[in-house]
Amino acid sequence: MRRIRDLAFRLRALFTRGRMRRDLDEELRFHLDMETEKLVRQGRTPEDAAREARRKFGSPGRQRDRARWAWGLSTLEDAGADLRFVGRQLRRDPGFALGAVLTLGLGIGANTAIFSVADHALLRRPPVEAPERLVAVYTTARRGFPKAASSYPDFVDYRDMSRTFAAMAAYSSVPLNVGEIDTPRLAVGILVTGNYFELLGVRPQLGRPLDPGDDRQGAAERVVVLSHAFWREAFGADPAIVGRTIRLNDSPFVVVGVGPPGFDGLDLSTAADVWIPMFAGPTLGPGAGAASDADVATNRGARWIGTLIGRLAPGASLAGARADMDAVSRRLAERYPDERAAVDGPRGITLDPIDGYLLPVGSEDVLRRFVFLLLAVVGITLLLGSANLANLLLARATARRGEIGVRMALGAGSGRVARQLLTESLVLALLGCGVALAVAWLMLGGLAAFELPGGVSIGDLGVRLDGGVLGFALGLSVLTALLFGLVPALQTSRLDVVRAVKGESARRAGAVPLRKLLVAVQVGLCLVLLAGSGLFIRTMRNSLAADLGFEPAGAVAARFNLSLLGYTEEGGQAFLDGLLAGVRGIPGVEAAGVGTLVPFQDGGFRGAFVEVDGYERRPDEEIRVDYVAVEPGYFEALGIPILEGRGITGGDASGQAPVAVITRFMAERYWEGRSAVGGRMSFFEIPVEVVGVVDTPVWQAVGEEATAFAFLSQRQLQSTSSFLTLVARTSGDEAALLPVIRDRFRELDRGLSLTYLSTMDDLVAEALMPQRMGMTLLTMFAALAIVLAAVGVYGVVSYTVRRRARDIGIRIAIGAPRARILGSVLWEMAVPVVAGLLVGGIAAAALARTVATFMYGVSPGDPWTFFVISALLLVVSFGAMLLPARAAARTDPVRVLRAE
Amino acid sequence: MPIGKPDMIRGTLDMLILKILSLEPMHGWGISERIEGISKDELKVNQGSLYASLHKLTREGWIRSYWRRTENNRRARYYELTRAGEKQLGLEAERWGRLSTAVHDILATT
Repeated sequence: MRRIRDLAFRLRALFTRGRMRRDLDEELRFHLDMETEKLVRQGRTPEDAAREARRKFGSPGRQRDRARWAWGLSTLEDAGADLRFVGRQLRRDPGFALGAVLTLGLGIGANTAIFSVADHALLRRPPVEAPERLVAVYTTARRGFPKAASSYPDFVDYRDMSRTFAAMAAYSSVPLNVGEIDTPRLAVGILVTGNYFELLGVRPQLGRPLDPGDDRQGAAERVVVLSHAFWREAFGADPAIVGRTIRLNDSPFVVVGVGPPGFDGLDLSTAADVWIPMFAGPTLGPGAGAASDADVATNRGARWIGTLIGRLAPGASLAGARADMDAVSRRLAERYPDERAAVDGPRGITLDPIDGYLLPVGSEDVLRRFVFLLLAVVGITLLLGSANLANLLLARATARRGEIGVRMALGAGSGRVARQLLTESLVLALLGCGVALAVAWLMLGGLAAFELPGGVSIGDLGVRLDGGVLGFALGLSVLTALLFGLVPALQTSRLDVVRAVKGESARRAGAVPLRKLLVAVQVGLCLVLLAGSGLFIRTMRNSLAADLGFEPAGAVAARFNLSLLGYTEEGGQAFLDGLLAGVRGIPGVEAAGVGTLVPFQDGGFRGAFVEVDGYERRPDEEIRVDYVAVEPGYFEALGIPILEGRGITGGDASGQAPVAVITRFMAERYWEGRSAVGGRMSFFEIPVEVVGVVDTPVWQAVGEEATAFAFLSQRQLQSTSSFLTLVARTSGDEAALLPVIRDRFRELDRGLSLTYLSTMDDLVAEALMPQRMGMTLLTMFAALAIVLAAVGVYGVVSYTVRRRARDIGIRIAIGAPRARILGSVLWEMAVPVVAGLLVGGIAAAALARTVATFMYGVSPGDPWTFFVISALLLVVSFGAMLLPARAAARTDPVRVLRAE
Repeated sequence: MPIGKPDMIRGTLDMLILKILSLEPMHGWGISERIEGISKDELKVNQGSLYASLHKLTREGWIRSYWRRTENNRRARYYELTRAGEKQLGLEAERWGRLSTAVHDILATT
């Protein structure tokens, strides 16, 4: 009851505060008048009486404050006054306001953007039921490669023999050519077992999910579920989609459902477009690879299913499931001793908890490291910015001691003053937050063009600034404000009014060392960023200057898959002949060829175990050779130098003696000084003659470990059903060649879609994307850091000089040489700067080791890089000190001493 | 504040205001005059505390105010006790009685 009345009073006070204030003024005036009249009656003169009454009454302003405080109104009203005051203060010192807001905005904005990316890549969980109970299951094929694919019989064994899983599903992605829409397009199909949707607990937005009834061999009607995003992109969100027939790889499928928004499978790097029952694989033709084989359900050796997903049974733990599957693995090894014995060690089963989206297999660690590197970079920038802001606010609070002292002497309560300072920080924080959102938005736009390691395109992640991230930014801003608004506020509320007003600087021992410490921290953090930037710049330069074993400039590449359109081997070969003839006829084209693999493209590797005549294998040694099927002209088009013998020619056709061209690395490794040309090896138990040796091209990343590669004749291997890449070399402009090549493809088959069409330079650049991104971001932030550090050093030195103006004046007056003044100011700051350099250098060297994965041709502790950036930072800090130090040396003693 | 005059004991001002107002409605200046007069200037009322106190008591609902003409035809804000205020005065007077007896007993101990 009392509470309600109290609130009612406050509210009434708020709405009628104008009248209440007038009433209060009148009441106080009445009091003063009565007091004066009384004194006059006692015989004082009117003037004397009025003065005495006012003296007795005290400061009217203060009385009014106290009465208003009693109304409980002041809190609300003062906030408005504080805001107006802060506005005036900031307008009076726009440099400070701009510096503070930009520092906060850039620091927090960059953190928000990178945090959003990290959140989407690593922290986000797929929108499925209880993802924490899901486990990814892989068949271990070889030591060091624990997450290999499984065969359908493997899946059936694991599912039926395990006791710790409530259910298990399998899925694998296949490339699709989607027809019956305006423009035929490539899409990502996911072949799933019938229980996939039920196991994940995913309910479609339209229609029904796939169910076990759809996933039967020889089902009369083939059905699919579309992803929400694909339904919108390719079908314009057609509400009548359910029941419509579409063509996948030229076979009819009926759409039975559309997935819920936001669900595109469990893999970070592969967004599902279409879900297809696993046993529909053969319908998809040879393009679906092993999935299209008729014996897919029974062939134990056909390991093509990328991922198995198990849902833990109630009460089962991950550790329990691991023990369970180990036992299953042992029983399977007994049952199929030949088949389970793999190259180096028996097959096993690997379980991986699903604590987010599944990262690209093999790139998990690199991807995580890279994201943490990004977080570290922006985190350091934020720390640096905060140190700068703290410095700015501290300097400002010190400079305003006089002003604040006067206000306190006039009767402002110390709590009121402290709150005003806090309001100022809060206003800065909110403005900073606004700038931060703009920065984050712009940065996300810029980041969309980049790729994380493992081929995860940031643009495809669909990163948005959502509510959570907004809260994150807001929280950071307010935290920063409270932290750095509170320190000066606490300092000032303890201020000794008398000394402050007299202009005497309170010699608080703590103030200057704190500021010097901040400078040391800034210089150290700056060095860390500069070191990272330097290492990445050198990596980039080394990578770009590295010998790639081929010549990307002048070459273009186009990737396509004929089998998706149902080409036979003969039809495919005819298509290739027509394509090569057409491309070679384009003016300016010097060479053109086709291969199953070109350098710097994603995937497409195929390996075989071979025997080399005359090479004595150790008992435990296997000769694994990656091979590429090529058409004549391949080496010339890519600019791979033929070092010995010849390349693949048109004469290497089927029916002729099988030939191979090998890389120099392979020749040196297995022919050991003898000439490899004329040598023999057995490939798939077929004798093959080595006819040439070429330079060793870089396949995926500069600095990669070279492996044995062999080039076989496409016409002999007959592999037109796999993905193929056309390469062409022109003496003219390669960008201008791209549309001409697209036309040549169209002329041969209008329905064929290209996976990519790109210059080789772009492919190489794309592979260096993480390094490029690291370099760009680090250099950007290092530049920002160096500016912040310079401002920080400048601020502290000029503050020190101002504080010492009197001492310096006296020293000059008694004859100290100005050079010595300059020297002493510089010397004082040299200590924190050098200390910061040392500590920062050690920290940078330690941190650099964790990102050594991304370095090429430069060691993480590269002395040259560290020397150059230390020198740079020293010069910048010295420059920042010199300005105020010279001003100090030019101090006019007369002016300073008179000012006291 | 004249030397030797005791400052108002914290919290007692509220009680004294309630007491004065229980006699008759009065304006701020009158209240301070009454307190000083009755106590024969032994108690001095700090004007700032007086008005803060008056507004606090109003907020508590123990007194209410209205504007009226004084005998000299000046407009002044008068305060009067509410029912809740009367009850509060009783409580505070009783507590004060116990407190002063206790203090007296301690001082009288020989």
